[in-house]
Amino acid sequence: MTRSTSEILEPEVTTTTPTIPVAKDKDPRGFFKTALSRFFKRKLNVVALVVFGFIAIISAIAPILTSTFIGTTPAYFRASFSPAYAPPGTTETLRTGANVVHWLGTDELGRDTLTRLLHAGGASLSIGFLVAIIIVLIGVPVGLLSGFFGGWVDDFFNAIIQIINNIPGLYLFIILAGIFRPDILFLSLIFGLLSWTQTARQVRGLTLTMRNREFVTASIAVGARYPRILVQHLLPNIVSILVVLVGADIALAMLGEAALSFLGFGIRDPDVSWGKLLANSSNYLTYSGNHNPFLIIGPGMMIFITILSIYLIADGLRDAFDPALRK
Amino acid sequence: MRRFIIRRAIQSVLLLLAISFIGFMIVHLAPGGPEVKFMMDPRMTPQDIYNIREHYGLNDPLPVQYGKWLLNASHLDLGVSYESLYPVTDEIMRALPNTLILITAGMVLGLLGIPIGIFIALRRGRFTDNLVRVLTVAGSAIPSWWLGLLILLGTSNLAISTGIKILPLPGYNAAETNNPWYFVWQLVLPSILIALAGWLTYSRITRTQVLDILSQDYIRTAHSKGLNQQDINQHHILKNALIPIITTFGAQLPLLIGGSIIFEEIFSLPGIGKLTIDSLTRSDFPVAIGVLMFVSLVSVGALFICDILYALVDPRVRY
Repeated sequence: MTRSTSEILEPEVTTTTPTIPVAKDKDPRGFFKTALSRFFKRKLNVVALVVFGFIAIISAIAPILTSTFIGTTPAYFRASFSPAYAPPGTTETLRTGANVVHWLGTDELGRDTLTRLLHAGGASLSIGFLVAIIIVLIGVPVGLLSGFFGGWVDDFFNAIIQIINNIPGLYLFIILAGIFRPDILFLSLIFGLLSWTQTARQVRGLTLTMRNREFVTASIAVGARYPRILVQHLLPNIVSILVVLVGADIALAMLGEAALSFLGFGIRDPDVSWGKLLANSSNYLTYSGNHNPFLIIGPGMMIFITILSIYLIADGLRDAFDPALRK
Repeated sequence: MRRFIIRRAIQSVLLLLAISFIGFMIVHLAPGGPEVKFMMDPRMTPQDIYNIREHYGLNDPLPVQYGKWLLNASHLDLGVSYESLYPVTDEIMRALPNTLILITAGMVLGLLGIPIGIFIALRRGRFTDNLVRVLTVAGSAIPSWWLGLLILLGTSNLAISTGIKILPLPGYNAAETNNPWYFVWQLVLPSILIALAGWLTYSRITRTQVLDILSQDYIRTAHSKGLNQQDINQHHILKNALIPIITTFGAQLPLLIGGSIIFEEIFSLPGIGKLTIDSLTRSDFPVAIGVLMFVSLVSVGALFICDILYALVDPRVRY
């Protein structure tokens, strides 16, 4: 018992002594450069960055890659079914497992799985990043304003956040997507408009804790205008948290897009995303002819690896920006 | 306390009104309607279309339509499905049990995350703690429905090659067999997958909460007055750690209801989610808005109850 007592008490002593920034510790290279060098010191961060970069690059140059190495053109990958691009045959014979020509096999229309996987990355990633941009553009100003001014501004935004948070999101997504049949941009817009609330709340909380700090009072005292205080004094202080939030936003948007596309309400033909590639895949399961497990494993693995690396990068950046947060 | 409950109830009603207005406008600005399924018929005249729309009251101005709909909805009449011509409430009630059972099972299983969180918090920095933290990050990066697909891929391959059925094949519908055990069999995997989200969320929140409590003065006092670890765990740590979990529980519910759509689709459970998808693919808007309202009612109600529970449990909450 005594051992566990000391164990419980000890970390408290170490964690509650804050690392006070002393002037001589200040790195002459500046805030961002020190943070970046701290980021690259951890191997896991570098690995995650390399993996993510690799996926982003192969997704970006997918048309070139596939036409040079696999011999499949964009027209081929986009074709829903055309005898010109696929060998004649029925669904049973067209779907094949991995072989020398098709490294990851083909789907029920004879389309090469690897080609489609590479092409799908673009849509998935761009939706993730577009949504994150929209969330930051709405969530950060809303959070800053309602945290800084409080009162009716806070109440007003809070009411909107309450409405959005109380609707079961996926239902509204599906209804909106089912009715308006959106393209990638519009889809990201819907996603962004319905999911900025978490970020706004976090930013609001952070702003609230900083509003009464000396540097804010001082800037008010010297007559700084509100926009200046918000943008120049408060914003830099929330960057480290914002990085993690953006990482989570990208990941959640990609997961949401995958779910929506899987249900048939997200990305539409002839575009593909990783989630879209999984749509109808439960039909393959009971099927007794040629099997191609990569049709299910492939897109999911891509989603998993991409999101995992995004989480790790965001976490690493947070630690690098704000070492005091590391526990 | 009474004033708090009344204020919160008024808020909830206003919230539902706002949701209904937004939902109604979205659905009614959309193209399509009851006449769509007759459009392929060459004998249809503009007068017929007008008559059909008149029948459903769709020629009135939008605010009038909304008013009428709201009046009817207030005594649980959500209109008639364009597709099946059954009342929307009947359609919802038919689908509801499946969703309700699935969500309840997932939710109850998910609560296991609380003991996991306490367990790893008390073993901070050791192997189990690190393992669970790694699993948490990995788990939140995997779409849980894809995990379901993978498991189905494995079991159905096994079933095809050896004939051993660990799990029912996709497309299997236990409702047709009238055997409750088959229904349980069909629900095992989806409820575990739904619970997975709960495990991740609750264990993480409980862990931070317990770690926070461990550094509080009253824990040190409890230790110094000689209480044994078990008493402290039960009376000082667990009780205090549970407070924020109530809020999380409420906030999880809308997500769970939303998440059930995808599991109903994969595991062919004819629930609310399946109803929504079908209604949208057929432009059956009364059902779509009815489901949206019903689901919102459930989650707003749950959040209302959670807020009141929270205020009851935590005396520090000011109302």
